[in-house]
Amino acid sequence: MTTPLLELKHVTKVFGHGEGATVALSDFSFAIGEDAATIVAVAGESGSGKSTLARLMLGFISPSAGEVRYRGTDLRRLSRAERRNFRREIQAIFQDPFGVYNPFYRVDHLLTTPIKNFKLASSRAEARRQIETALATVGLNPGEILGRYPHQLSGGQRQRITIARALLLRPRLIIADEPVSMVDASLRATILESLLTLNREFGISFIYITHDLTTAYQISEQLIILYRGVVAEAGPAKQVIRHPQHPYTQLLIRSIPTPDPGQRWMEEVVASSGEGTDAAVWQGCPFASRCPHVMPMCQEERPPLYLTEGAAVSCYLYRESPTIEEGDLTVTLGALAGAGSRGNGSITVGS
Amino acid sequence: MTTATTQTAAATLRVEDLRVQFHTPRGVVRAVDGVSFTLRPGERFGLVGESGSGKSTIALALMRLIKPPGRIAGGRILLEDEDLAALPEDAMRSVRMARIALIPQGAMNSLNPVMRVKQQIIDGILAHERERSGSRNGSRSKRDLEERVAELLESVGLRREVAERYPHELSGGMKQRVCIAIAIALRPSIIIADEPTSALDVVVQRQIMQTLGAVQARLGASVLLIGHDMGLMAQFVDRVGVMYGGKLAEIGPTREIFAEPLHPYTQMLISSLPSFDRETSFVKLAGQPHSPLNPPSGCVFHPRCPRAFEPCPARVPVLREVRPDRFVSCHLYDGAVES
Repeated sequence: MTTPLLELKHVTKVFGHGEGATVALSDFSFAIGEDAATIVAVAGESGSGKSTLARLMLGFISPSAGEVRYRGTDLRRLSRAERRNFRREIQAIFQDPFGVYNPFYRVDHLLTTPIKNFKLASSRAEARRQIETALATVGLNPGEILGRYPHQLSGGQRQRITIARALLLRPRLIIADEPVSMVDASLRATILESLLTLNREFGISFIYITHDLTTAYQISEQLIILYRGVVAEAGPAKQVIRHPQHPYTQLLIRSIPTPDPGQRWMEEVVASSGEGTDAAVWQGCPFASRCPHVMPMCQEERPPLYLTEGAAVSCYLYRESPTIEEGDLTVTLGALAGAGSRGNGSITVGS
Repeated sequence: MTTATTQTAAATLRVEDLRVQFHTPRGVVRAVDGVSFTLRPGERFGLVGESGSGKSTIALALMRLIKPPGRIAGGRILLEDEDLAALPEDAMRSVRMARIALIPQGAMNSLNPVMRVKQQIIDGILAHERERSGSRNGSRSKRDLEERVAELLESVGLRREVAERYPHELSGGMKQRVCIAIAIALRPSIIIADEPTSALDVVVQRQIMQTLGAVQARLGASVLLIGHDMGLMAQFVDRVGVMYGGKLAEIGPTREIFAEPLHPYTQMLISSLPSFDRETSFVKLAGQPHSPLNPPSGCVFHPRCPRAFEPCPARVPVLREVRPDRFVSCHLYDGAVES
């Protein structure tokens, strides 16, 4: 196997010390290769560790244990040149399409800066051409965008400009942390479409971090469900969402209010625990205190990932299935990928 | 259930041609531009729309909490035939919380961080008793109040010990329950909830909505739910009003709106909702929302409407009942009014 582009090896991140310590991510291993561009969604509620994972992958924070490696080298030991490549090849798109803009600069500034910093163009005209191409790729008309100030653009336009900016650098991987959660429903599809275009036409992989399983289902091939810093379930997105196996994934999916008024969403009573912080969860399964199927063994030791039909599930209900070595998901997900594919990739323009 | 069964008289809220304007240096923004709807006794009514559609402004207007440079520029807000839009401020103060309560957007983050939960609930109750001055001047004993707080907390699914806690000791879901308890402390007949679960994950969201539904049933109150999530509307409200550009595009029973949306904007909103069951492709809407300073002529939706035709840029459509209990504001139905 070739050296992965980005690899997490037994990564744990703890915030705080002693009694007040919070384990945001626990023994997480995963790798993104370069062989085929993919979209992996990482989903979970607030406190699941998904944003911590994004920040670890971008090198914004360092793991408390384990390693994050870029092309085989620990992020903390990258040479100057390697770091520069890392900063170009791995790009980020964030939740707030307003926060990344300086209100005093025209939006052009956001697009010309990376070209200058990475010397991507030999002339001003060349830079202009690259910017116009990138904007057109994400469905924006350069004439309507360039020369404007951020406040003159909508949230959907701003978020697409940040995608165009990422595209300029020809990255291999984009880490998109809740890129559509602040964009209105009618514009969401346009953003997701831009991500798919980059994935399919430019071979860029995505880590799509979200709390929203519906958009994860729409664009991702693989889906990892995090619960309190631990992988609850992972597999092809369609499989995990349509046939959830972990009791937490099942609860999560049943809790989504669907646009079908016949769902009887208000009627199911869910045990109201899990709110607040119980430190005791750290020896067993973190979902044990809320789980309708809880068994004594769940309180004692964290379940390993079992390879069930179609997914990797961290739950003793599946203890008859083989376990996955070292908790490394990558190989498993790769093997499972043949069984299912992207939940839903097609986009049509409503007219 | 026994202590506080249906102590509230069912009430009707009738909003007629409500207009809210914000006077900015760059012009007048008509955030709410001629909105009419009725909140029926005991019903759950939803106002759904995207950011900037005017839905939260309506909530503030009903509470008479619009602050300058905004003002209620026209229309009536009839609560049991009393026009709240015309009420003097001191009279309005005795209506707020006692008859109409608001759970504002982000309420859970506006709890006072240095005050125990108990005190925050008691303050709300006492402020109103002072307001109805004379009649019940400080008549409640401390023990009565604490008992009332405990009852309120239990009615929203919290243990009574939570009274002694500070907000930072509570999870997001618990804080939102405290906000519901504060809102219902005076047994209002109308509860307005503005995006009450927007910061919570889906599992907690459902628990909070179940709590709100139970509290409403116990009080016999009506709920006006404001939000952007069509899925949540489908699951919670009896009728829904769809807002676009400061106007109501459509009002109707939830089941009927989802089965057969009439307004092209509602059709787009519903068809863009992803579903896990069917292999749908997701639909995107052409164009951008208009600038609130410079709304399009005629129907505000016409520049983005796939079905726009001659009258749309020329004339503003009127919200009319085109079928029993189905109201729509669209020229496509100009000939379809039933008599």
